[in-house]
Amino acid sequence: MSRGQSWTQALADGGVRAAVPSVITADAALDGDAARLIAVVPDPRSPYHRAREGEVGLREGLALAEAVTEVVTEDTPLAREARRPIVAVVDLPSQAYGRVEELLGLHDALAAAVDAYARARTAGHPVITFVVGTALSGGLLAHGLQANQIVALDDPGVVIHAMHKEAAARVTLRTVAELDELARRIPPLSYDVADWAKLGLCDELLRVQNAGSPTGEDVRKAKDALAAAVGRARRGPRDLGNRLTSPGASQTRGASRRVREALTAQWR
Amino acid sequence: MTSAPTPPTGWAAMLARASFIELDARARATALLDAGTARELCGPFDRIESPWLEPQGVVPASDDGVVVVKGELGGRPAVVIGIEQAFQGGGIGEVSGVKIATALSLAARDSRDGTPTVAVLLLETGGVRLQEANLGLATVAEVCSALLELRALQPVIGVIAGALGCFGGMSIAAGLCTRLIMTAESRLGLDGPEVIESEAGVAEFDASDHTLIWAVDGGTQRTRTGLADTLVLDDVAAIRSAVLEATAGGVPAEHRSRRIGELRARLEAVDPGDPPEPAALAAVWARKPPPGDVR
Amino acid sequence: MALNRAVTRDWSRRRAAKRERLEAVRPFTTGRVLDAGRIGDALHALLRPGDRVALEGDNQKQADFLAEALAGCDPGVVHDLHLLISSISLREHLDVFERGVARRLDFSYAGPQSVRMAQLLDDGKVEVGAIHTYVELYARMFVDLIPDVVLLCAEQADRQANLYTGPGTEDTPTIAEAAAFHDGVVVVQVNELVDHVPRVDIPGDWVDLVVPSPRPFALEPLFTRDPRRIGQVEVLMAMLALRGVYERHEVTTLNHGIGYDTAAIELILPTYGEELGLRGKICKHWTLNPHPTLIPAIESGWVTSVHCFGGEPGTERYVAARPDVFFTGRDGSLRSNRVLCQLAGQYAVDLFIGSSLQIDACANSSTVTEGRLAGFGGAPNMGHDPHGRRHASPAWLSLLTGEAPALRGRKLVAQITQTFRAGGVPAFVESLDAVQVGRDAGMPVPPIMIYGDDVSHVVTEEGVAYLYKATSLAERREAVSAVAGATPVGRGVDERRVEALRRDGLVALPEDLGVDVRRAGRPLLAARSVEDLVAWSQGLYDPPARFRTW
Repeated sequence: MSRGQSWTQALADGGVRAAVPSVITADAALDGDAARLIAVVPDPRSPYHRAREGEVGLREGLALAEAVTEVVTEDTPLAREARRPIVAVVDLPSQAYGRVEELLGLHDALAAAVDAYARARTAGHPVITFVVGTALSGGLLAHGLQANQIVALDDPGVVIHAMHKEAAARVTLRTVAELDELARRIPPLSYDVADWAKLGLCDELLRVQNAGSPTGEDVRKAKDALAAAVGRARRGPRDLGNRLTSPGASQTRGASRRVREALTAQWR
Repeated sequence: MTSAPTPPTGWAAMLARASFIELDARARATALLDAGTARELCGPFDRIESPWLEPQGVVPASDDGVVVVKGELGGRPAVVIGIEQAFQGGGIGEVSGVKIATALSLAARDSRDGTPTVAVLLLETGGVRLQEANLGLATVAEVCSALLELRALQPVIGVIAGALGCFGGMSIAAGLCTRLIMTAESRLGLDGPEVIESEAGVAEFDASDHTLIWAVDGGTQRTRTGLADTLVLDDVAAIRSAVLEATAGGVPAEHRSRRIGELRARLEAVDPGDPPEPAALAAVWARKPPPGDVR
Repeated sequence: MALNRAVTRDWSRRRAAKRERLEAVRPFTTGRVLDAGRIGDALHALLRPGDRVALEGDNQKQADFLAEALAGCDPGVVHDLHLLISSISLREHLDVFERGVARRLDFSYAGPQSVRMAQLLDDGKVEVGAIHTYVELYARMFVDLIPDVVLLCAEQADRQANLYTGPGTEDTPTIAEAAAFHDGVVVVQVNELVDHVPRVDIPGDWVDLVVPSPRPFALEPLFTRDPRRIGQVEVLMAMLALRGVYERHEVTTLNHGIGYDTAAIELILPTYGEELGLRGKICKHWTLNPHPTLIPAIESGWVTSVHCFGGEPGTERYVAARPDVFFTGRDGSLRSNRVLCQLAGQYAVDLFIGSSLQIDACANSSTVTEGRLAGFGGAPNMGHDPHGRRHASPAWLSLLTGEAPALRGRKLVAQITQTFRAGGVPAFVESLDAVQVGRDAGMPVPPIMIYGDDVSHVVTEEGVAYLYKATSLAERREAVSAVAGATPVGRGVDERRVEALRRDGLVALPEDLGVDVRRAGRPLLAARSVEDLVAWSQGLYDPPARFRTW
């Protein structure tokens, strides 16, 4: 069972549903809130042969957009602060690299997912990303990076990056060892989740006993963390502004802040 | 000495054109705006460079490869944001990404505060700049968020003009634009041909096969299949007029990225195990999407 | 007794041998058509150990089906062949040696296989007779390297084995002639068998066997340069060449080497050249492949005639629609011929201009670099002053040389290069890599592409050096240094000396030539993309897929 599956199942209060075999949803009680969990999971029998290992492909992009939109539509009559939290449980190798994907416009399907998540966030749904495994590249853009809050497991199995290591080495004409060496000096290059957490994107790093197959205590701890994140999201901005004001960002994203200040000053 | 025969109008227009893509990002942005209205923000003299490149032996650019130019489009306040393809393949890093996101947010702020401001994105990019990996990725998400914020208030027009194309995370931003303008030379896709070939093998995608590449990613195909809206000649005047027309269209009732039912119908119309030839896709989809206009 | 022996001597052993060979392949033929499925058996029956075999590997087209079959021969049966290949382009060309089918090799060019070539030589798998220029290798096929069997390619053959080569005639008639008229066996792979060929490029009675190939022969678009990749430095050098060489010497007949530098010259003729009023005065008659980048100049009325070494994929329809300019057959398509075009390039044109990878202080140049054995191709044939020339022209006479009464003109041989190549590698060097490579490969003389004493002009972004005016080797070196910029060679001359060289006319800087450096830029290119070339051709040019960006 993939990490995305096992965490979704463990966190769920009630059944796990699958709109398509590769996108599962469930509900979880988080400190009085009924949060909607959404995860992308492997589907070895997917007709899209490049999207069988949990990649975010065409079908997944559409299913994510539909799953998120469903919550938004259902809660439209509710007051903003009463709208349900959405938790993206993230464990995905990447987007799907394939010819039919490009032919049919994978960027368009992922744009639909991004749009849906951002729409949920601006509509007042606390959108929380919970990274339990790998979270790479376009897959993470579609399922994870539009969240108000990002919580990640502090575990060697958690890898968050723009490109997997072998490909990055190939593209930058470096060896994997050289890449690792460089990453020690240059935090955004690092594959280590602890380094990633310093970039200002991470709202909490969570240490658990068994990241692959969570224990009862792990689940309680995660639910507490997610509930806390929901609280912070409700109190915080509905855009991604907190990414630049977080304690991590004040350390690593000085250049971002300078650009924003200068541009704002010159904008008039 | 014989004189050259007069070429047919189409070829003559082609040769007489002022190529947009021959210009650098700064000149492109200026050329799109109403004459005399362009004002660059956070330009090279502000020297806000990427802090991550020099330690990796890459010479940084004093504008980090993105220009932000404010001005007017058809007399309306506008900001043109251009990605310079010549710098690091148009890769989005921390500074360049935040530049784009902040400009879009500020346009949204003005639009809310009574100065409606349209935005034009010149999307010549290979995606996230690998030297800034995770920060590049994060800023692309911030760009998407700010784009959506503005898009609800004022049009955000995407232009993809050059053969470099728009790939990687920024292709998602392209998919979020109010309207998308492409040339026949330009390409749009999430994963570029080289990336797919190296990840999945040459049988999946032959990156040396230009016919295939443009049949899948090219501006003509993307417009024909409704994934882009307008196909234009690589010509300054033609692109400016397409942009003016797109901004005049205002904010549509439903954006492309919200048309989930249409997306579902399109996916259901195709058997992924036996997909149609690229040239046949438009016909397969013809029942659903409105065709883009071709000029 | 001696007289008796002479009388009984058999004077037609080659003819008898040819008869025997053809008899041996009869089981695999129907008339003169060889069964493609039995090509291996046929080669085993046809070839004898030690045979001299010319395998058609031209600069452009390749008899690849036959090359593959030859490489697949059993070295127990077919071995110790002596191969003649002008251009070693395919891996099969060298597989033949690795597998022991052939041992000895005479060739001209091995660019695409140059690394493996050097390796095989090191391993003792191949004995090189000599590395030739194209013309030399073909010439020797009529003297002391007469082939026993030739393996060629053509587009079509009819039932009488008349061959249609299509636009890329290249070397086929020459190699066929060397065998056909000296009792060698002529075997040709064809793309198709037809009832009537559109035109006869090689008469059927020169041809012994025709084999329909399961796929069309390989053909590379070697002479296409994408204008998008031409930068402002190339444009500047093109402006300098136009004013400092073409205009000054009234060059009307010429050949261009292939490269972005010369493509830039072709592309500024309709703009900068037009502005200077040079149309009709220069660049009228060309020996040149159908370079797509020449299309704007042709369409603007600059070009009177073009004779071609070979064709170029994608230019077929365009060339066919411009028969006043190109040599075409009665079917309308291009007829090229490498040997004749080389001959024309040596004796009939006034200027050769080409790029080089390395130039030394004496203006010797080479494209050979460490670890590669690339050979020469045809550049040395074009890039020299042929002392056999006697007809005069204004350009030739403008380089008057010699002592009375033995006065003569000179061909203009120009080298054009940026002082530094991509990646900051200097183009001007103290010693050519070729010198070391020649030593390592045991060559009798260093593989210099163009000898410095043949070079009349060097053009860089710094200016033009008029080497033909140098009265001593020292002066030639100074003139080269004066345009070699910040390279080690360029540092070999001081500013005052450069001033003197300018006064004496050995060196011209942009301002001396009236070239406004600020105008050097892509807007001067008549076409800035492959799409533009298509537009100039009014849709007649069909660029190969790899050059299409739409």
